[in-house]
Amino acid sequence: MFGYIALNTALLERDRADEFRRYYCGLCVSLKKRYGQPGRITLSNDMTFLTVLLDSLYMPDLSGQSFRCGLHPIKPREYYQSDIIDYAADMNILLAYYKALDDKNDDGRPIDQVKFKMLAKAFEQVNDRYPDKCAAVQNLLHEIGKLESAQSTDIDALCRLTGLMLAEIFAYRKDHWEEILRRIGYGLGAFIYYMDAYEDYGKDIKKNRFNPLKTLHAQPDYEDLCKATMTMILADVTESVDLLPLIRNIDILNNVLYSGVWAHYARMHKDQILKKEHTNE
Amino acid sequence: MSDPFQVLGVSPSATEEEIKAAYRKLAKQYHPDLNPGSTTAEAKMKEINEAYSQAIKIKKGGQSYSQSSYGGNSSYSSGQSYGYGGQSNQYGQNGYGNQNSSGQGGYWNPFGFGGFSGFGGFGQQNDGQSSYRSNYSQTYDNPELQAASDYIATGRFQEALNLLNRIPSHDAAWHYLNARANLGLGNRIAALNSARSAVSMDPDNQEYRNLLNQLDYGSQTYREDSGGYDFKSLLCSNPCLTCCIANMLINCCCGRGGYFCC
Repeated sequence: MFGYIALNTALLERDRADEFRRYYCGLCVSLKKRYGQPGRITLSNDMTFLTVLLDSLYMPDLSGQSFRCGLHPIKPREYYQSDIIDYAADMNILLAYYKALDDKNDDGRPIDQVKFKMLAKAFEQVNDRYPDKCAAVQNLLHEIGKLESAQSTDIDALCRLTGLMLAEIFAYRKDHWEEILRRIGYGLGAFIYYMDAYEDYGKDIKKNRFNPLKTLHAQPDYEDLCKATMTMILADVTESVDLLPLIRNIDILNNVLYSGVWAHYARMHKDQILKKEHTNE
Repeated sequence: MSDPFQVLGVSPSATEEEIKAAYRKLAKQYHPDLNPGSTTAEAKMKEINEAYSQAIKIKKGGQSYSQSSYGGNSSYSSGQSYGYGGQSNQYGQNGYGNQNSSGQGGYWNPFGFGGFSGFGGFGQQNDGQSSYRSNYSQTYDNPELQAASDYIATGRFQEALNLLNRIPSHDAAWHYLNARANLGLGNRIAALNSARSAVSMDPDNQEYRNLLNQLDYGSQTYREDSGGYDFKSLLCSNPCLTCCIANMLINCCCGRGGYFCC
């Protein structure tokens, strides 16, 4: 479910992709500082997007530094530090923890146990800092789980719950922008749930697993419908983003929202896309 | 309330970009970090924020709105801690439907995927709302459909849905009403599906087309704005080769040439 909110590096100039990386690295550094090595396993593009979004909105004074990352020993990397990055790091832990909890209970693979244990300690700190958020996210995940166990095909409900979950994550502060940020998170949450169900459909059916799109899949216009639905959901997001006074890094944000989010979808339809290009020449 | 454009120091004919730039300039000046503890700076910041939102709203063709929310339905503004269905019986038998929508299905609201269809939509929403009721003149021979239609007209969307779910045959009219009922509850995904079906089954029906257009309105803008981003470019990157090997436990950013994997 996570990982859809990413860049399309092919359509971004090198220096702009580098800029995104400064936030990504900043997140990594923050995770390591606050939660040690276990924290870094949670690093995600999704929360990097949130970082760039919040950074663009609140425009903190960024202090870039150079450091030599243990994973990239040869080339020095720059990264940013800010309260926003620290916040996103916390949210990384929050999401990863609950996801690990979910995975552990679902599949029960040994790796899930390991991940979960590693995150538990980090999560305690996050829970202390944001008890309401954590409780809300936990409840929402629980409700999603209930619906899925009941094999619900109420995709609106499932998307709504996921949306509300991300809305919590995106609601950085109680201020003038909270509502729009929640709306952005809400749309993205709905999108990732839907896209996840859509992408996993074949795999789920093969493994005789539940997929909420089962009923819709029987419709002859299934493909068109899914594309239209996901577009509708994203339109809400981009509309809301456009309400914000964003100037810094707006090209990066747009790259993600108009292109990057469709990466998995494009790969699923690779043949059609390539064929279309060919015939359009 | 003072003139938002004046507060921002721009002319009412300024573009959105100019408004945003003006905001940024002022925000930099009165930023709380640069004026710690200053109540005047804080008050000014509040004024600027509100002026900005007001100005943008006007630019996008909507009307002025209260500062506290965009749709008036939001529970965030009232400060109450909200669940995921709002006040009571959120996960009750009614599912996750928005109990408070009362005909404002087009509003975004935290109780449902209530499709904020943008300021164009907002403006539309008010028109749509009146057409919701007054143009709702279509009568149905089928008494059950008529009953559902009446429920919808009075904002009783869940009752309409319950009724519709008992009707076995799903013709165009059924889909249209199903779309409206779902939209009222904030179930935009189901609403879109049914609206598409209604139009597909009865392409000449203008009312059905209007509903689909209302749902599709934002998507049109999205599609236009994504014109510069082609799908093919999403295919050409190879997964990064210099990605760290111990990726079982550690996700890390990749080198050049591709995605930041994870």
